[in-house]
Amino acid sequence: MVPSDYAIFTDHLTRSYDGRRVVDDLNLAIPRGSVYGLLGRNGAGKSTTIKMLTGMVQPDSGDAWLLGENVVGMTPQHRERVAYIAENHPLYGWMTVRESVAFARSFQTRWNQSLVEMILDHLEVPQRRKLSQLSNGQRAQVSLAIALAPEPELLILDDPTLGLDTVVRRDFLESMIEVIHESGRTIVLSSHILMDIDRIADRVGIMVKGRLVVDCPTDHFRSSVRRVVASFSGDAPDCSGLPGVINARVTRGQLELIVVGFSEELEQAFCSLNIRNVDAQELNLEDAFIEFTRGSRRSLPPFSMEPVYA
Amino acid sequence: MHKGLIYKELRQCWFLGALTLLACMGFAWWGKVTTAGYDVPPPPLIVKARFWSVQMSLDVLSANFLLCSGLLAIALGLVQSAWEQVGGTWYFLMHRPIPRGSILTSKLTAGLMLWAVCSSIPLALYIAWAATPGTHPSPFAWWMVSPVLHTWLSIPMLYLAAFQCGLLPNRWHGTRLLPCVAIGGLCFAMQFLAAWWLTGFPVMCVVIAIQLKALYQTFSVKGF
Repeated sequence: MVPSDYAIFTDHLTRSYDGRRVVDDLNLAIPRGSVYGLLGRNGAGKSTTIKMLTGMVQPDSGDAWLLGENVVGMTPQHRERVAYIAENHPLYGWMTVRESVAFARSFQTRWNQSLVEMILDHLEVPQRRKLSQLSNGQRAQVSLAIALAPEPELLILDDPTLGLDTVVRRDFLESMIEVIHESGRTIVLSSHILMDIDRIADRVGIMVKGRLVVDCPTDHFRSSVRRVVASFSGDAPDCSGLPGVINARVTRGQLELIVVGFSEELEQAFCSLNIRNVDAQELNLEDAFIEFTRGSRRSLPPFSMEPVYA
Repeated sequence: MHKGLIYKELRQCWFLGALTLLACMGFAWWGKVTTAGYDVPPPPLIVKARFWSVQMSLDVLSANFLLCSGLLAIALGLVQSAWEQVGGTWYFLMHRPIPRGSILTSKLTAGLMLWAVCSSIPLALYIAWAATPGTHPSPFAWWMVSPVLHTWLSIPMLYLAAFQCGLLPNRWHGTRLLPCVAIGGLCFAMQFLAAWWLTGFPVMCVVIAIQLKALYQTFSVKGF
């Protein structure tokens, strides 16, 4: 296995806090040029994973590579190829926008000032105003401009749209989409807002209690998780043992199942349980995510992932 | 070292230096008016300042100047380390493409520069005043400056300890402040050493070397 084939590659990455495994044996392989959405509920381990990837937190065990280089002891040259926007866009509130840009620029060897001007002008961010006087959305744009100016190969964003209103979120994502059009650039973003991920990510990873339980193309995940509505005669059948069934409930005399990977095997099982009029509905990403993660980890069936290690 | 970062640190912390200078000016003014016979109430919690008959030799005004200097060192150390944590700006700063060691060196250089300038100005002016014949009715010899100088020289240990406190991950503030308390006690004890340049100074150098080693070690592996 050559980690340099991937923009991000982790090998059994593990981290605990106070005896609790926050990230548990994480094997992640994100292809170059992809837009990867890292999803998970609060405390699933997304932020800790991102912090380990950027060298902000040391893993207890395991290794991680960004752009083919190990993150342990990242060199300045390596770090310059990777942009990182932390949660809440931390910048110095007492600096003006112009000062903040100049401060960030002083560290870089490459800097595309016209790109910075373009992003800030497009959203009419006043450059003479202090960052503390800007709205969350404007601060997010400044943060994005600063991250993009060195023209990084890899962009890692930790919940970048957190706290932004709908319009600002849309503006931010449109800026992101423009960035995506730059060839060969890889973007990894974590988010709670599934619509954002659905809009821009071509692959998703879902973390549940520190473990990566899904890692596949977004469309594949969306089409694999289905809501199955069926009718039955007599007592409600026990579907808990059926292959791919995450959740089963009876509502208004109908059986409602959440299924991962609707297969012929499952259809045959339905016949044997006297379940009829089976209607399998596709879910949007948000519903699919909610249905997939709302149960306990034990209830999750092995997801039909694409092979991670090619 | 990174010039941009040093400049940023100086801009971020200049107000602490300014406050220290203001406090020292206040002490000087207060000492002057009380010596002149005006009945001015002392500020709360501060040693009663009065120009004693023998200047510089452990007098109260220089003690107050040193107190301000020590408080400045502690405030600077904490602001430069813990405030980055509070604001989450470590994430921004630590992802800049320079070695972690350079970030720490730049921060320490800026902090020590600001401390040295702002704490030495009041003392230097006071010493100059005390050494000028005809300004006060008491003898003056340069050796009288020694106790003040020894204390002042040991204050950087307090700055480094405060910086370390800001980096420590302990959740209980008692444990977190341990380096500051220990070094504060050491600074105090060192004033009683005889032949300071032969005993206190080497001890101070060793302690500072250990503190720097610990800081660079902490900083190189610290999680944020």
